[in-house]
Amino acid sequence: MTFRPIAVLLACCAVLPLSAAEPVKSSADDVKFVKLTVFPERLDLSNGRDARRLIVAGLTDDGRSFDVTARAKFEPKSNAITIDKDGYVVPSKATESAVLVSLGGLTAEVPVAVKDAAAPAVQFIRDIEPVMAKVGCNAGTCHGSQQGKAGFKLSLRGYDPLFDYTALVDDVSGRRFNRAVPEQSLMLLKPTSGVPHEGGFLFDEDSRYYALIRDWIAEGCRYETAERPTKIEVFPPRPLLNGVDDVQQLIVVASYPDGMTRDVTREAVYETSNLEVTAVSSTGQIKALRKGEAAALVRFEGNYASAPVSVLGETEGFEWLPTPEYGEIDRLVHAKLQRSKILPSELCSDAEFLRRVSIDLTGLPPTPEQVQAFVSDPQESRAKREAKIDELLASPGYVDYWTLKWGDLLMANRKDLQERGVWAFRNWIRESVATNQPYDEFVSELLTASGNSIENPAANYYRIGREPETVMENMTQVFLGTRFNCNKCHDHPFERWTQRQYYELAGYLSGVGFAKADRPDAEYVFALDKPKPVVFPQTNQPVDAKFPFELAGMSPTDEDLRVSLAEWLTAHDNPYFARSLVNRYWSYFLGKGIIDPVDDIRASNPATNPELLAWLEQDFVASGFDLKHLIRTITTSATYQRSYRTNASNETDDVLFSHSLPRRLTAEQLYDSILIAAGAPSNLPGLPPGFRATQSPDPGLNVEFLDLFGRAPRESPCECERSSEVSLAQTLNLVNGETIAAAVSHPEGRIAKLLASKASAEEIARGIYLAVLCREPTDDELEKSARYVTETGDTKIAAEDLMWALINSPAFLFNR
Amino acid sequence: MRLVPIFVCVSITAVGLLTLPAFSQDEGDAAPAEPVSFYRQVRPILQRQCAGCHQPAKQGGKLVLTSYDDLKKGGENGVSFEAGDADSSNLIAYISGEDPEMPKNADPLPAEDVALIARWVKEGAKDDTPASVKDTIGPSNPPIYHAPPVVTALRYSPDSSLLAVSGFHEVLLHQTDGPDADGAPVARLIGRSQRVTALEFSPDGATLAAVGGAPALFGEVQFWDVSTKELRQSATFGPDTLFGAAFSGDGKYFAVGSAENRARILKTEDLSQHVKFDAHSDYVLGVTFSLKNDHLITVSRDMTAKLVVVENGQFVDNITSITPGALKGGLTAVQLRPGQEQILIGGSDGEPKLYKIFREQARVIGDDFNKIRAFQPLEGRIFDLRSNADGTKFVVGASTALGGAARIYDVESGNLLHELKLAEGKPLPAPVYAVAFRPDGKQVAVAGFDGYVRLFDAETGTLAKEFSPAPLTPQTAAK
Repeated sequence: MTFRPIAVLLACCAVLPLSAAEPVKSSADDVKFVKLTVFPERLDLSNGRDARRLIVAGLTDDGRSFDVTARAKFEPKSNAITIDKDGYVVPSKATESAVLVSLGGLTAEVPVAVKDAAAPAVQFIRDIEPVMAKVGCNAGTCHGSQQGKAGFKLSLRGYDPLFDYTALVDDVSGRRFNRAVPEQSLMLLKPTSGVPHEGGFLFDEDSRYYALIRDWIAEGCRYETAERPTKIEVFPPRPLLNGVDDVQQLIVVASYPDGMTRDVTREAVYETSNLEVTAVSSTGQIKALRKGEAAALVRFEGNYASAPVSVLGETEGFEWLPTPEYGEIDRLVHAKLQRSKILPSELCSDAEFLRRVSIDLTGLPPTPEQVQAFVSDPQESRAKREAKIDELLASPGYVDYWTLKWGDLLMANRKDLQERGVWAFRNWIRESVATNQPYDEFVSELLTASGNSIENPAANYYRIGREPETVMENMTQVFLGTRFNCNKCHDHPFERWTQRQYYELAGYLSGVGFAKADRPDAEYVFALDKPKPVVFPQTNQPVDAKFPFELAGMSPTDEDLRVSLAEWLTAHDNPYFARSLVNRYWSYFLGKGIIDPVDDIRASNPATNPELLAWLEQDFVASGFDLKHLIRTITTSATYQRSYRTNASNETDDVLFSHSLPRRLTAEQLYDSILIAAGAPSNLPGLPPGFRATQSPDPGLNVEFLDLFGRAPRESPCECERSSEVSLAQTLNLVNGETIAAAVSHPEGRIAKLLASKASAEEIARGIYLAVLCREPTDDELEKSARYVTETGDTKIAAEDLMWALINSPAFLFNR
Repeated sequence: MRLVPIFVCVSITAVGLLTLPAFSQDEGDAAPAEPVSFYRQVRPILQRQCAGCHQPAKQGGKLVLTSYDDLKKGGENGVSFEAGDADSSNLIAYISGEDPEMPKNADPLPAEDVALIARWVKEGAKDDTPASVKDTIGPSNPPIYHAPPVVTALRYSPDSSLLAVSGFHEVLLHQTDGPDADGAPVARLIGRSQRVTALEFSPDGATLAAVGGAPALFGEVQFWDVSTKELRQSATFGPDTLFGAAFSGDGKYFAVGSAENRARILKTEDLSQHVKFDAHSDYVLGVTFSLKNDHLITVSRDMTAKLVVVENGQFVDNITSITPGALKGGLTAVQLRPGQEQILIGGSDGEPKLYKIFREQARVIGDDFNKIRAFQPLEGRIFDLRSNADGTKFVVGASTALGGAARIYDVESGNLLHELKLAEGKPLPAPVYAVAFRPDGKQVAVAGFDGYVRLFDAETGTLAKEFSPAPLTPQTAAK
């Protein structure tokens, strides 16, 4: 018996074509069907190269639907069509016909209309480029790499068809094709291993790909001006698989600017967003591997689409039980959960809620007094939680904590701004947070800021990025949640953004000038009379400022280009601006974005609950970009208030928000929480005494503990910069580090005070539990820890041990 | 050191650690190897190592090794193999052992290649060559053209009587003013190389060198006897096609570039390698000898023109600037300006340039001291250029992949003399890959992607004749 690495097996599943002729074992095998339905309901074939496939669903009497495409039999009703070996319907005569579909005694008939059966000339852009993408010639690891491979370079995933045509046809005087004998063309001998090829054998002489390329060469290697497709659609749009081993064949249809559509299922390239949940074959068949959520990611010729896939688990006897539903968020989350046959967790306890919401809103845990007051408050739980949220939103802690967050995102740091600048910028952010400035105004003010960087601190934003390209990259990642830095050197490999758009958008920032101000640690930021044009490296020509997508009613060229940019960016109908913000904020409270990572929004990174995201966006815009409103809306939902404890149906879910996701405390939260738990005063270098870590202006303060636990170094606008990874060095520090040692045994700390007050062992234990875990100990915990305090002999050592141990527990280290 | 109480049982690391699945790999249990493929595995070895001598145009030992059927037939020493029995097969006997008989005057085949061929024989010596790719072309089975082949090389004979044109698997020798009405060439020199990338007549006009090979299979130099039209000699070099061709002025040496980034200087008497030159980092596309024949100049897709000592193959200098940023795309074409220690070069930037071969000033970072002048750039990339016999004018051809252009310049003044166009001033219809200047100075030839040769009056720049150098099938000709 040979064990193969799992990754290898999965990779095989993802790329090996599953033959359509071979029956696939699926959970549909033992199911009795009462009806077949076929998609599409009819086929219109426009010419001899227009081949299309059908997908067949078997319906059971209890209303379930299974994909039986691989097992169904397809027969042409007349000789106007044929069915090829991949199961595609191919026209042979221009007339009406039909496909007869049958399975186990059930039948269905799909009408087919053939408009023209003649095959048009092979087109480079429509026919040849997709083959090269499908077999991987132009992949980043092969000829699509920056340097090409073995002397032959193609554009990455075919984003530049003329470049590819030139490489194939014109390079080295036509080395790669042979018109006299097309079969002797290097571009056919290589993929068939007719000559040595490092990339291996890709298709044989009898394949459809071979025939396409051979015909194209025989027809003269023509380059036509046809355009690439404008969009692709995936069917079914939301596959639902009934259980492990169940399958679903996809159909991918591309639309071209001339109105033509094509079934490109065979040519599209597939990936899965979650290798553990589903595999997708190279022919577009999804296979369920375990219960959960995944997306089938599809790309074809610069277009990207995805289909969210749900795989149901053992659903025998599943019953949706009534659960609190406070508002629209809950309704939308529950709708998705019901479809996926998942029950959400119970609501968390009041004490759990208090700790969670305090840390989420202020970065700080509640004090023992606050815990006791909240838990013993006789008000109805939902009402008192809402009151607490309002109280926290109005607290100074909220201002400090969200100032820190925005400081991270805007990358405030003293390397670029000097110490005075960093404080000025922080105070400007603070002011905005404190007054709950509408988000669109905040961003507008930032982007259009001019003047002395001390007097108008918002202008510091430009001192951080400086170059138009850098500011643009930061701006798009933070305010649009997209990564334009990917299309700096080539078209975006996973999105529609082009390399040219990168420079065009940067053009809006080309008019920012810097001059010396009255003092060395300030600068004067101003709008240049004549912007320095941004140069597009491909052509070495300057490009005009242009938005990557147009919005109605925008003046694209205001006198100060930044005014136009801010208008466009913050527009109500900008499809990224509000959406990326609500998604980002959602992740701060629920542990994961509805689109995740939150700053990598693209077609190939679909939302797990698109309706929820759309509702949040619309609600946020309607509120006037009110950030406190958004936070209140999220945190007052039952969804936010669920326990982290899972049940049998939701234990594997970590994307549909059926339970709370424990999040490790961030560096600053952890530092402050330790000091608050230990009752020790905060004394950070470079800050006034009493200033907490969440109040620090930037990472320029040298605190090793904060670096160890991954505070944001503010060198990149990526949310991922704030590390929540877990390392051995962290564990050692928690077990044996100076920060905790000093805090726990601080002479004015909690333990010192408890001992001074001659507290009993039980009181000591209870006090420590309340301070560290923000809850009362259970009877069992109280009994055991009190005994430990008593029996150890030295009460001080015992109390410190207990506190130390609790600080090392997940209940403390995680916000959950 | 602080002791931590034992009831800290759940530590933070437990959350962070991933449990990795245990696995092992058992090599011995691997699936049985695929049978050896003649077409995909054996044939490339034969092409590279054996077919230089054992080809239809040479037939050493009456044995041809370019196709399965010929291999099976064997030669004067009998059949090549007993299917299933490697030990009693001639083919294996000749190439294995301590001091194998074949290849003659060359290194033995690598042991793994011999083992692979032996295994193929053992497995039944089956032919899996797809019918569509069988290459059976030879002198008795000339190529049939359903479409005109791309022209990659053109050259006039020194006496201006002949025009040699590259074809598929052959060189088409035409009268200097093109064929008569029947379109037939003077001779078809059918060789082993599918691709002829460069042509050059020896200074005395007795020999026509055809350089080429098959991409990713082998490179070849063919020496044809111009009077008898017979292949005098063939030599195989390396695993890919060769590029460029130049005879030294004294006729002693012949130089070629290659797709393996190597230039070679061969002795013309027997085509044996005199020296090799490996300082380039990309295809070496053009070569030319200096006026005194003591240096070779090579140009490459790596953007450089390099100077090499003929005697020992030593690298002397980069002739063009090598400052990063100053280089603009690869160099494709080079030719000595007759009568001068100067070269004309052309490449991807479309700008023909004239350079001194030898440096007269010490190199300074960023310099380009050897450059004499640049000519008005053509749109697209230059693929070929050729001077007239006295070095006063040159013709140059370029491609934008979708179209082409050719021009004649005056070397001294740098002036553009003629933009070569079709009748009624229409631009050339296709990329230009090859040009030639007739030694008598009266005519230039231009050809490329579309497979047609166009002859222009060198004095007026007007189109004199247009013809397909390859005999087309009637259907193709009608199109």
